[in-house]
This record gives sequence, C-alpha cells and structure tokens, in this order.
Amino acid sequence: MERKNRILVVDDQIWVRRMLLEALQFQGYEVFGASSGFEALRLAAEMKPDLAVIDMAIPGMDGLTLLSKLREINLNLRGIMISGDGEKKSVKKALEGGAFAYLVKPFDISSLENLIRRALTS
Amino acid sequence: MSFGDSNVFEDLFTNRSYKISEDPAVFVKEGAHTVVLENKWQDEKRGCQTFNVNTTVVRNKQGVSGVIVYCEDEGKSEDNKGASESLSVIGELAASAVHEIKNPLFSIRGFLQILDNTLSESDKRKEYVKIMISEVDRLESLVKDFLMLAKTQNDSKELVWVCELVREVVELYKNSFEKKKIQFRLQAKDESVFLWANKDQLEQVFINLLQNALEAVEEGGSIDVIVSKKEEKVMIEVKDSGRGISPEVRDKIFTPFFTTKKNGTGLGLFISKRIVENHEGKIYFSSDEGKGTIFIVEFPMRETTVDDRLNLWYNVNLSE
Ligand SMILES: Nc1ncnc2c1ncn2[C@@H]1O[C@H](COP(=O)(O)OP(=O)(O)OP(=O)(O)O)[C@@H](O)[C@H]1O
Ligand SMILES: [Mg+2]
Repeated sequence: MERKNRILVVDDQIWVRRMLLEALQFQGYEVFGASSGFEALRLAAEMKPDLAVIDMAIPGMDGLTLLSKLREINLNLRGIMISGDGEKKSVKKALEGGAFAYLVKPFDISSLENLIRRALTS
Repeated sequence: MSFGDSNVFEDLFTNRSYKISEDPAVFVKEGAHTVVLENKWQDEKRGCQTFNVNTTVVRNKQGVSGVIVYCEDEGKSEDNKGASESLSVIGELAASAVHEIKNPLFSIRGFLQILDNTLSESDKRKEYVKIMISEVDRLESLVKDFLMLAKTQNDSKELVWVCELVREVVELYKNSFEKKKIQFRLQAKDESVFLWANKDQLEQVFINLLQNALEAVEEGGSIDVIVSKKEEKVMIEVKDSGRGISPEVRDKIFTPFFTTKKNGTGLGLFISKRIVENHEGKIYFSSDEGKGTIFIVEFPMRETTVDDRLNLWYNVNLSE
C-alpha cells in the first residue's frame, strides 16, 4: 500500500497548530507539528514530509528561510505559507521565494485542504 | 536636459536661481535625498538652505516616462514630526492588537469547522455550530475593519499617481469581476493626475467603493471608474449598474455600522468619508433605485505655485 502523504505544520500559536493538525489528520494525512523553525528542521530530517504548512512569522527563523532550508533537503517539498498579513508585497515575496501558495489568516479550512490536494498532485 | 546649468532649477524653488552644492545627479536617483542649495543672488543673505528631496521614477510600458520630484524645506518638516509620530504609534498598537485577536478567532473557526464535518445533517448541534461559524465570521470582518481604521491613524503623505493607484486596486478585483461576469471599464481621462496623499488610505477608499459596487450589481452588470481633472479638482467616479440606494436610507449610509447587508459591518463608507475629509476632499453620490449608483470622490488639486513649503511635482521627460 502507498504511504500516506506527510504534512508538517509549523506555527507557534499552539491552538492554531493543533487545529490545523487535527483538520488535516481528519482528511487522512499523516501530520506532525512544530512551533519553531529549528524544531521543524529537526523533525523534517526524520519524517521527510511531502508538504509543509508554514506560518510566515515563527520564532527564530522566518517562515521563508525555513522553507528554503526544507527545500535544500528535499527539492520536491511543497510549501504553503500562511500569515495574518495580506499585504501584496508579502504575498509576492513568498511566491518568489518558492512557496506553492500563500493563505491569509483567517482562512476557510477547506481552502487549505483544496490547495494541499492540488499541491500534492502537481 | 543638462544638470550642469543651474537654470534647470529656476522656478522650481522660488523664482530665483540656486546653485546646488551637492551632486545634482540625486535628481535621477529614486528615493529620499538631502540637497543643499546655495543662494547665488546678492539681495538676500547669502547662505545655504537644506531641502529634503524625494524622487520617484515614473515608468510606463515603454520604459521611464518621467521623474516626480517632491521637495520639502527641512525646517518645516521637523515641526510636524511629533504629532504624526504619536498618531502612528497608536495606529501600530491597534494594528498589532488586531493581529493578536485574529489568531484565536482563526483557531475557534477551524475547530468549529472540524466539529461541523463530524456532525450529521440531522443533528441539531450542527445548526448551532453553523451559527457560531457565521458569528465568528462577523467578528472577523469587524476586526478587519478596525485594522483599516487603525491604518488611517498613520498620516504620512506622499505624492500619489492616481491612475496607477486605481489600476493597482482594480487588479485586486479582476477575479471577482470575472466571476460575476461584470463589464469593467477604467477611463483615465487624464493620466497626469497626482495627489498629495496617504497611499494606503486612498487605496482603502477605492477598495471600499469597488467592493460596494461589486456587491450592488447583479451578474453581468457593469462598473465604471473614471478619473478626471475638473477646474482645480481631481475627480474619481465609481459607477455601477446595481440596485441603487433607496431614498429612506440615503442619509444614513455614511454613519458607522449602518448596513443593509447580511454580512456587512457598515464601516466602509464611514471610514472612506473620514479618509477623504482628512485629505480636504469630498465624497458624495447619486443613485437611481433599480438602475445604479455613482460615488464621486473629489480632491483639491495640489497647487504647484511655490510657497515656503515647497511641494510640487515635476515631470521631466528623460528620453529627451
Ligand atoms: N454602490 C452601492 N449601491 C447600492 N447600495 C450601496 C452602495 N454603496 C453603499 N450602499 C449602501 O450603503 C450601506 C453602507 O455601506 P458601507 O460600505 O458603509 O457598509 P457595508 O458595505 O454594508 O459594510 P462594510 O463595512 O463591509 O463595507 C450599504 O449597506 C448599502 O446599503
Ligand atoms: Mg462596504
């Protein structure tokens, strides 16, 4: 049997992280969460995620730096950035920085689920 | 054009010629610069005057089409700093408070959605959960509007190229227009319309007006934005073929929290009016029920005559 797609969720807000993890688990993904960039890198080395959902403003290293480091390890990893900041500049920077998509918080969970489905089949 | 000859800057500051003691090439570099000008006429005290010069390069499809130069006497700008700084501190505080509120709302909404997915259609609790989600949505849009209000606390102004700003805002609406099959037209009757304004705030006004127009029209309707210059005034009109505004509510639409929409907050026009009036402008409308509405925003044109506070735009064709 094929292995379940693995998703890493990085957000320092504990209940936001937990909520995203539960919602994605409910969709049948294998999920794990981290609250900082360093924790995320450590976990990623072990778990080899296919996709990461990363908050732009996480402690230690910013979300985009984390994404580029994750992609150094696995070039095929897809990154979906999430942020409370919907400024065009930030969106542009994220997409240019290799993100698959950018979602402005608060968003509808089903939009995230749709995006993930698209990211994993593309 | 040549920078070697100080005549270039004649009339730009006063009707006198000045010698520029710093590298005049700053005028073609984008960004903020300090320029020291030396008065070369004899009738006044000889001396130097310092100006803050801000240059913006204007580009069109063919490349660079001009340069906007804004000059400010340094002495003057210092005076205003205190007031606007404390205002922007309040604005920033409010903005970060809003961000703090967004996260918990987001997790509440998410958990409710998970609950919603697990309950069966016949379960009464499903209805409760749906109500909670829509109430959270209402809170969210309130919070968003407050963030907008907080932004109006930041009063820093810059030279804004009106048509370009309108185009940027319209770009945000492209998808929504397409979805609703709306015929959209932007008529820039005068490209060279500039305003001395806070760009974020002005953008917010157009967003509010376009959003209202979008919400008022049926599928296949039309929305027009017209930018023009009339007798010392800059006019921006947003016209829609929507349902119009009924006479009973006409004098209420600018009051805070007045809305006729299910999910409206009723802050859009209130905030817009406040912004426009902060810019010494006017906002008004005329509406034909069932046929459409036109909102008109009017700003006084920035005079280019020279006074001790030197605000001006200077369009130089670099290709010549
Ligand atoms: N273009 C328009 N056509 C018809 N009615 C309009 C138009 N613009 C505004 N209105 C009326 O004015 C009311 C107030 O508008 P306003 O933008 O202040 O609030 P809102 O759109 O209801 O909520 P929000 O805070 O989300 O903008 C609207 O509810 C609507 O009834
Ligand atoms: Mg509105």
